[in-house]
Parts: sequence; structure tokens; C-alpha cells
Amino acid sequence: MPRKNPHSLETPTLEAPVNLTAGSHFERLLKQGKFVVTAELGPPKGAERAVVEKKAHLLKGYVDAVNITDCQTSVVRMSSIASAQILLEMGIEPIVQMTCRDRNRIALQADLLGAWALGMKNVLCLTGDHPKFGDHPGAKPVFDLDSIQLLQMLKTMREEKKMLSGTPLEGAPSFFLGAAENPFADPFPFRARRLAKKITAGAEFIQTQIVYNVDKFVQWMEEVRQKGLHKKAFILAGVAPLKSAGMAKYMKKNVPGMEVPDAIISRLEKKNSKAEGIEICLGIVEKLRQIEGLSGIHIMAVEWEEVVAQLVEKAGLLPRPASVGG
Amino acid sequence: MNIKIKGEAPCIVACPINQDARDYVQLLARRNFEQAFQIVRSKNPFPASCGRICTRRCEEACRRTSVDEPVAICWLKRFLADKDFTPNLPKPPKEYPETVAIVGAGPAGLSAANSLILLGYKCVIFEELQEPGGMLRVGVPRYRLPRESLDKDINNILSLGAQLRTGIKVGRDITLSDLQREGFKAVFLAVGSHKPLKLDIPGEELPGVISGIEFLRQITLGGGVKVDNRVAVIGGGDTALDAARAALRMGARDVSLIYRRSMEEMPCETVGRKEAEEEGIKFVLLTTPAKIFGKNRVTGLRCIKMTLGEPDNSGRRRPIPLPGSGFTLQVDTVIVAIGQSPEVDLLSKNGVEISEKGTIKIDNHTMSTTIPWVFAGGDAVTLGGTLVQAIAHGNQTALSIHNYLRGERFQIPVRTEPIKELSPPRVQLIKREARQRMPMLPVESRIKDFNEVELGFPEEQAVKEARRCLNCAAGAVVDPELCAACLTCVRVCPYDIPQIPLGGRTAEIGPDCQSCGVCVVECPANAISLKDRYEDMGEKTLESVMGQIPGRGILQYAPTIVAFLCQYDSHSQTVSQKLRENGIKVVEVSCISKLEPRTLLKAFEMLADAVVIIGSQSGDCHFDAGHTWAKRRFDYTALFLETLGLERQRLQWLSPTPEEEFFKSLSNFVEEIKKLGPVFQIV
Amino acid sequence: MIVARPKSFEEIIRLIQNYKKVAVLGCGGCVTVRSIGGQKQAEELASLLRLWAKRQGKDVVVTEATLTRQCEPEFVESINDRANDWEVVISLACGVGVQCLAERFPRIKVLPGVDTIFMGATIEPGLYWERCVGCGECIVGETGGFCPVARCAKSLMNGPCGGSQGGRCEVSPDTPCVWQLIYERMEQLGMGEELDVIRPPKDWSVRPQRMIMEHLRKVDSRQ
Repeated sequence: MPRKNPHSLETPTLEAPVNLTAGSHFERLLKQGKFVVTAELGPPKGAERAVVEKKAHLLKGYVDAVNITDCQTSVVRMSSIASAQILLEMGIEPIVQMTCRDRNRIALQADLLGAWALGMKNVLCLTGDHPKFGDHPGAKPVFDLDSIQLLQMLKTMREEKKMLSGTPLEGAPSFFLGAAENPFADPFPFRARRLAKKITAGAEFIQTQIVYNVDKFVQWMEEVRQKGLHKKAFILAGVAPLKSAGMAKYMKKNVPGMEVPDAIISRLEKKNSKAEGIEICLGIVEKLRQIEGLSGIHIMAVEWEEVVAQLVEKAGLLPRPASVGG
Repeated sequence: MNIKIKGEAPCIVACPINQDARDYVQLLARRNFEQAFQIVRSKNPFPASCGRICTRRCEEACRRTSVDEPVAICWLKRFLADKDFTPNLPKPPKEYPETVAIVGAGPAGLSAANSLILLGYKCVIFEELQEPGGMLRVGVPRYRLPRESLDKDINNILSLGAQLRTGIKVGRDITLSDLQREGFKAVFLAVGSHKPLKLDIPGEELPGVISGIEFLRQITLGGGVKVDNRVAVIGGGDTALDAARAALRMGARDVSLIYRRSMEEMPCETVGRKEAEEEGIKFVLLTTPAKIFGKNRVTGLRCIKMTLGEPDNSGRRRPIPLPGSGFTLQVDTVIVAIGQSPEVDLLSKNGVEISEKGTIKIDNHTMSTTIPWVFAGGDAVTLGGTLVQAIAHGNQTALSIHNYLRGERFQIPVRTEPIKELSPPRVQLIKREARQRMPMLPVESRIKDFNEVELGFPEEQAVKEARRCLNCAAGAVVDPELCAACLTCVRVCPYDIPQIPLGGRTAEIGPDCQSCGVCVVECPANAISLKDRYEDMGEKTLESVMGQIPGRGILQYAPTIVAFLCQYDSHSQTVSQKLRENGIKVVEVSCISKLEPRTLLKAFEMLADAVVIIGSQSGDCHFDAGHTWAKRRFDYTALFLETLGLERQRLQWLSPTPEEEFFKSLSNFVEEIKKLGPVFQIV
Repeated sequence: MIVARPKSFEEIIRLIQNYKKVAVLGCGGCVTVRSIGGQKQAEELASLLRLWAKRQGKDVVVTEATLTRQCEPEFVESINDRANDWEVVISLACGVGVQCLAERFPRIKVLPGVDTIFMGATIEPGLYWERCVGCGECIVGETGGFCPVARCAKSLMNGPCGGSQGGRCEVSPDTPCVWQLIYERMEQLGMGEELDVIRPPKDWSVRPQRMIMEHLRKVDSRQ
């Protein structure tokens, strides 16, 4: 059966001139209609620059932009902005993740003003995990703003050149803003509506939670299309290869908002290997590419960055395009 | 605390003398027999007699009936009376100069004498017979009321100082005017009701026909009465039943009791009726005698069958003769026991007004006759009254005479309303506990003589029976001043009793409260207490037992161990004995659910080296939920002790059953505590 | 009501070990209702302290008393006479009560005997749950009667977050996701669309807050 791919990689749409917000490579590809691939990089639990460099090397050339996590799962790591600076120096485009967990509105604005000044153009706005899950469970959770308010604040900075307080900015950041969404969380009927809120608040791209339950994802995408949200923001589906049946079960049980279908677990139980995990992941990617309105995939291979290259290659997503007109 | 409880225990309200049945039963349950007896005696001068032949209005009213069976209050009174405690009655607050004449040494007269002496008056009792006791002596057979028991009651009354003059019949030997002349300021006529009623049928004058009251009197006083083989007793009251059973004991082989209504309408005591049935008395019901046959002596009794029609004035269905139903019984003796009336002719001549029924006319409140200084009571005004009714009349008349002599108005006592019956949902929550059975002489031996049939409860049985008492109207009360409206009581009550009234803030604890004490312990504001005066939740007992600690020698160390023991456990007596033998201080509580953690801590503060709680097994408990609550507090207190660094073994929970295991665990426990040494190193 | 939990005995004795005259003060307010700091608990703690002192061979006088409410000056005044005999007071009241004592009796060392944890409701006997943080800007009228500030682990204004699963909060599976509750109630009330509006950042005003009710203040009759 001939595959109908709405985002043909071979024929980028060059005709239409695009309005760019931040002018990043990542933004440009999306707006050119490319099927984009991003991946996640977790900074080290320390000050070792080489760790960031090593992980970044593994990704370079295989993805279009790299998300730098912001102390993911509330565990202290090198700051996302600092790590992003290392990537910039290596010629890799970062997507800076910014959570509301550790910073109040003053710190958020200050840090992001700095990020813009350093040349970071993409920001993924997150509420953040609760500190309870991390290595400093007694830390005071800030949550002065939530992700939607953060998006709105950054959009206002960009469009009105004002801080949240109304103070005029000496140079306004003009970030390409993104948000995360978990299609598998509850209440399910409200998920697409909440996505709409994020888009209204300023999100132009969306990276979703890891998709294992493709059927449910398809259902969610249908709602997204019904609301026309896929035309207002670029949606990248999260994917991640499973290392083992044990990991699959663990994720199903312990990661909030993570749905791992039993079929996947039993497949891994029969043939318990990393290779099988990769195969499963490729199958999911295959299915995802057929969904109308999906703009790309976001690979979250936590502490398994070396698999990204393999995955992208096997999925037939190479070579990565160069952005045109940038 | 000043809290009003609406309503009183129905047993107390139902009793004509308002005997505090609940209170003495509760004390008995706690093995405080002496105090229980004194409560009985304070209102009842005939505890031994009443404990045997009372008509038990209290038991009819007992709220336990809706759960299973009423508490055997009467038999518990008997148990206390049989303990032979010396009555401890209050000395009269004042001695008055007047002397009162009492006519008749029956229960009414003797009760009046008892009360009058306690009020501060002197009394002289005039009795026609040679011995006091009236109907109790001559009308109640010994197998129901042994002479010794009756004499004990009477002697206790007479020893207060009443003068008894026997062999004097007032009206015949001495007139009321004589009494007045002799200086008596008031007279109480308690002459009883000894004149038998007649059947008014042919043949009633034949030899072999005798009245029930005469028959019983002759048995008692030795009048040489005899019965032959076949005896017919006519009547359905206690006298008829007593005559029938006495006839059996006098050697009759075949005794029939002839009654014109059915068993249901019989006025006699149910217990006695059942005993009579066991003994072989035949009940010929719905039958009335028409004629007594015989030439020189009774040979037969012609009877007619009856049927029951509409209810009459007494509320009982009126018997109607069935035409053509006549039949004849072959009998040698006919005992007529259809009632008595007082002998009033002589008194009437003395100016005492007599009613149409042939009784002495009185004012129901003051007991005064139409002559202001003459009072009357007992069977002479009630006809076939009961013992407790006679006592009530005696007590009441004494008060009235006191008021009369002091020129005071008689205060009609305010009637307290009994609390309502248990609500059906509560009945479901209350544990069923069978009524104790009275040990009795076997039927074969008891019909041979006049030995007492009912043998009385042994101590363990009495205590167990007393513990069935629901302690009505003596449950928990909330002090609204202290109440923090925390709702704890509402939430912890195992019987769902406390309720917040609509729009209110303080819980109302209704009369269905079972006195388990759970809310009292759990109330954080100390706002709840038990109305029960005899319940100390272990606190005062703890103080008293700890007060007995001997000075601790430095060379010899014996640990001080306090045991909190559940009284409801049937083993508690053996257990507490064993504990005392081991030198353990015993604090008995009516359910360990009444133990507060602070009380357990207090034991340690009072230098206990260890505390042991001995509670019945879950399920054996009078209060099922009590066990769970007690265990929680035990754990709660154990945590406290742990924080003090005290060894865990110093607070123990032991189950008293199985006994062997208990004794073993106990001695292990004591050994362990010895090894641990004292809690406090006191130099 | 304010909910508190008892401090550990170790902590209490660490704070009082150098004193000889100790008072344990219960409070008749919230802590009584929760059976944490009422008269009985005061008696228990006092008893425990006496036992501890006796075991240590220390000569410590421990008394106990319970005030109607420790957060009212008039009730605090009621112990004025006795307070001279005390060196240290352990208050079983909430953090408010303990400070009222400390302010009234500057010469006495005032210690908390409980940790105040939240303002909450009784969900069932023995189970209390936080319902309000006293944030000073009540929005439950717009959130279906449920407070996301107190009851969402992240105090989200535009929830639920991605961790809401099966109506439960990701932080504690025993806790219902308040945003799920809000969503359901708002839909039920026909107000679901209000949830599509973005709520602006909350005003976390200056603390400590102070409130004056002018009409209840003292009147100086000399004026």
C-alpha cells in the first residue's frame, strides 16, 4: 500500500515565504512543513562540560534540534541554559526547557532574558515535576506561575515588549515558544481543550508525552484536528525505545501519565532485548507518520542518547534537512 | 456538673417503693455487695422476703426484655439479703415526743414502724396473733418464704426499737378511743385482709371444705389440718396456688386447681405457676364450681365449663357458663381461695368509715381515714395487695403521720417518668446474654416437705446476672460548658447514641446509652462523665490500692504491679484472687473500655513498676466494641512508655483464658518485671 | 479547623531538660476538637514528663492547665497568676496560640508541643485533610468550590497537569486530583467553558497579613 505522508521529507515546501517568530532552524523547518525530529539531552549531575559535549556529539546530524531538560524529575543537574550554551558553541540548535518549579516570575524572566541574549531561540515552557519525585524532596516548590502563564508572559514580552509587571524591556526576547502536552492524562476530554489554552497563551510547537498507546494518541489527534489546533501549532509526538520488559512495566506503573499497552509488554517479555525495543519504537514512529497534522517526532531516550542515531536511520528519516532561507 | 437527665430507669419507676434496683444491681455487678444491700434496705425493710415473693413490677418494666429477658432483679435482691449484712440505717435527725400506735404486725404495719422510727418517733405495734408477720407468716408457705428469712427481716425492724404487743385485737380488746386515751397521737390501721370470701354454692358448709387462707394458716400455726387424696382448689391467685402446692406437700396425691378463666388471665405469679405445673398440679381451666356433694364429708364437686366473653371492668374477659357442660369431679377436700376481705366490723363500730367494697376508706395520698389521727393501709385498703404495695403503704403512711404530727402539708411525691423502651436499631447492637436460671430443688424431693424450692444464686451467678443490667438512665452525660463540639462522642459510640440536635452544638446522649464509657475516655475536653455514681473508671480504685504500697526496702526488691481487670469477665474472681496472691494490686473496672491512657500513666506515676490489663477475649465482652477501644488505648499508652525509654514489657495485655495459659503468662510476666528492676532508682 | 500533630517526646525533653518548673498548656480550641492538645492530652504529656523527670532523678514540677483558647488575650490572661511559678511552658495549641503565650509572657520560655500542619476538614473520623492555605484571594467561586491553591500539589491555576491520572494526583495516589474535581463540577454546573479562559498569575500578597475590623475596635470613652 502506498504510504501517504503529509510531510514528505524529499519535497520541502519552499514556495511559501514563512513568517518567523524567532528565526531558529527548528522553527523554520516546521514552518516549511518538514517532518521534524528532535531529541532530548539530559545535562550531567555535575559541572562536567565534557558530558554535555559527548551526548551532543551523539545527536549531531541526526536531529534538527535538541531539548535540554531543566532538572528533569526534580533532580539537580547542570542548568538548561548553561548546557544550551555549550550546544550553541558546538553548532547544535538547543530547545531550552524551562520549568516553573524552581523559579518565581522574577527569576524566570531574568534567566530567559539571558538565554535570548546568549542566542537561544526555542523555549519549551513547562510547569515541572513536583520536587517530591527528585533528589531534594524537601525543597520548597515555587510554582509561582504555571506553564500557561509562563507562555503568556513570554508572548507578552515578545509582542508588547513588556515584563509581566508592565515595565518596558530594554530589548525584548522573541522566543519560538513551545509547550508539552500529555494526551494520556486525565480528564481525557479536557486534554485537547487544555492544549488550546496553551496555544492561545503562546505555544507554537507542542511536544507530547511518549506515545506507546498509538490508538489513544490517534483519538486525541482527531480532537486536535477538529479544533483546528494542528494548524495553529506544530505537534511533535514523543517517542522512546524501551530497553526491556522490566522498564516497560516500571514505566507503566510508576511514571504518572504514561500508558504502556500490555501488547508491548508481552512482546518484550517474549523477546527481551534492546533491539526488540527499538523495533517496537520504529513501528510506533511508522504509525505516527501517517497521522494527519503531526509535524514531527521528539525522541526521549533518557541516558541512551546513542540510540537516537540508530533510530532515526532505521526510520528512514536521514539525512536531516538543512533549513533554507535562514 | 448540673445536668438534668430526663426520665428514670423504668425498674425504679415501676416499683411502688421506688426501690433503686438499677443502683444495687450495678453495685452487685461490681461485687460491692454490702453497699448494694444498704441501698436495698434504705427503702425496703423486707429484703429477704421481697427478694423471694415480690411480684416484680421492676422486671416487667426492665428494658432488657426487648433484647432477651429481664434482669432477675428480685433474685439479686434475695442474694444480697441472704448475705446477712447488718442494716446500716441513718439515725433519726431528731427525736420527737409522740408515740404512734400501729395495728397489725404485717408488712404494712412493720414498714410503717420502720419508717417512723427512722423519722424519730416511737411506735407500739398491736398484733392479734402470737407472732408478727401477718400474711407473710400465715398466708405464704415456707417453701416460698422460709421462716428464718421472714424472721430476719422482722427482727431487723424490731431491733430498731418498735414495741410489739401480741395477742391484742384492736376493736375487740382495746378501742381506738382507748388508744387515744393512752396517749397515742396517731394510729395506723394495717389489719390486713384475712376474712375469706365464700363461693355461695350448696355444700360449702360440709366438712372437708376449707378456705385457702385458713388452710395455710393452720399449716403454719399447727391447727391440725389434714388433706385426703383428692383435693380441688378453687381460685387463680397466689393463695390458691400456694394452697394447692401446700396440699401436695401435706400428702395429697391428686390436686386440681379450678379457675374460671384461662391461664392467661390467672392473677398468680408466672414463676410459681410454672413450678406448680412441674410439681403435678392439674389446672382445670375455664371451669367454675356449682355444687359441693357429700353427706358427712365432701365426696364430689359439680363444675360447669365456661367460655370467655367481652372484657369486664377489670379488663379481663368475662367468663360465661356453657349450657349443658356440667361435670363432676371426685374429691375429698375442697379449698376455696377466691379472695379475702378485711375484718372491719369492729373498726366500723369504733367510728372508722368503710367503703362499699368493705375496705377502710382513706385519702389515697395521705392514707388518712375519715378520722384525722387514724390512718390505714395495706391489704385492709387494697384487698388482695402485694408485699411491695404493703411496704409502700407503710412508708407513705409514716411520712404522712410525720406531716400530720408536725402540722405540715403532705407533699404528693412527684412522679418521675420512666425512660422510653430501647429503640429497635439499638436492640440489634446490644449483646444477647441469657438470664441466669435459678437453682431449684428437684421436683421429686420438694413435694415431700416445705423446704425452700428456690435455692438462690451462688455468687458467680448473681454477679453474672447483675452484669446484664443495662444501667438505664445512668449513662453518659455531656457538660455543655466544657463541650468543644468536636463530635468525637458521636463518632466513637458503638451504639450510635449521641446525636447533635438539629441546630444544636452539644451532643445529646439519650437514654439508650449503655454506659460502656468509650465516649468518656475519648472526649478530649473532659466534658463527658457517667451519671452512674458508682463508676470511677478505675481512677479512685487505683488511688486506694496504690495507697497501700508498703515502704520499699533497699535490700529486698519486690516490684509493684498494677492489674486493671475487666469485671465483666466470668473468670474475674479466680483471676483477681490469683493476682492478689502474687502481690499484684488489682483495679477492677466494669469493662476495660473505661480505662483512660492517663489512668495507666498515673499508675506509673504512683510508682508502679508494671501495669497489666486483663481483658476478656474479644467476643466474650459485655461491650463488644469495648475490647477494640481498650486495645487502641493500650497501644497508644505503650507508645508513650516507649518514648520514655521504658521497657515494653512493663505494659502488658493478658487474656484470662485459657486459665492455665494465663497463669503461666502471669508468672512469666512477674518474673520478667522482677528482672527488669524498678522503674525509678530511688535512693 | 487548624490541624496539628504532636511533637516527638524527644524533641520536647531536649528543649526543657534544664528547667525545673514546667507547665503543659492545652487549648480548648481546634486542638481539642482534634484530640491533639486538649485537657486530656495536656494531662498525658504532663504525666509523661513527670515520669521522665523521676527516672532522670530530676526534681521537676510539672503542672498542667487548659485555656479556653490560647489565641485570645482575655483567656491567656487567666493563667497570669500561676505563670509566675513557671520557667517554661509547653503549649499544645497551634502556632498561633503558642505565639500569643510567648508575647504575653516575655520572661517565660514558651515552646510548641505540637506541629501545626494545616487548616482542614474532617473527612471521616480520624482523617483530616487540608482544604485552605489562607492565601488571601479566594477563587473557589470560579473553580467549582474546590481550591486549587490548597489542594493541587503545584497550586496550578490552569490545571490539571500531565500527572493527573484516573482522578488521582501524581504526587500522592491517595489524593484526588483537584483539577479533575474542578473539571467535573464545572461541567456539571454548566460552567465548563470558564475553564478555557486562562487564569492570570496569582497575587501572592505581602505576609504577614493583618486585618482590621474598624467597627469592632476599642472606643476610647474619654474622647
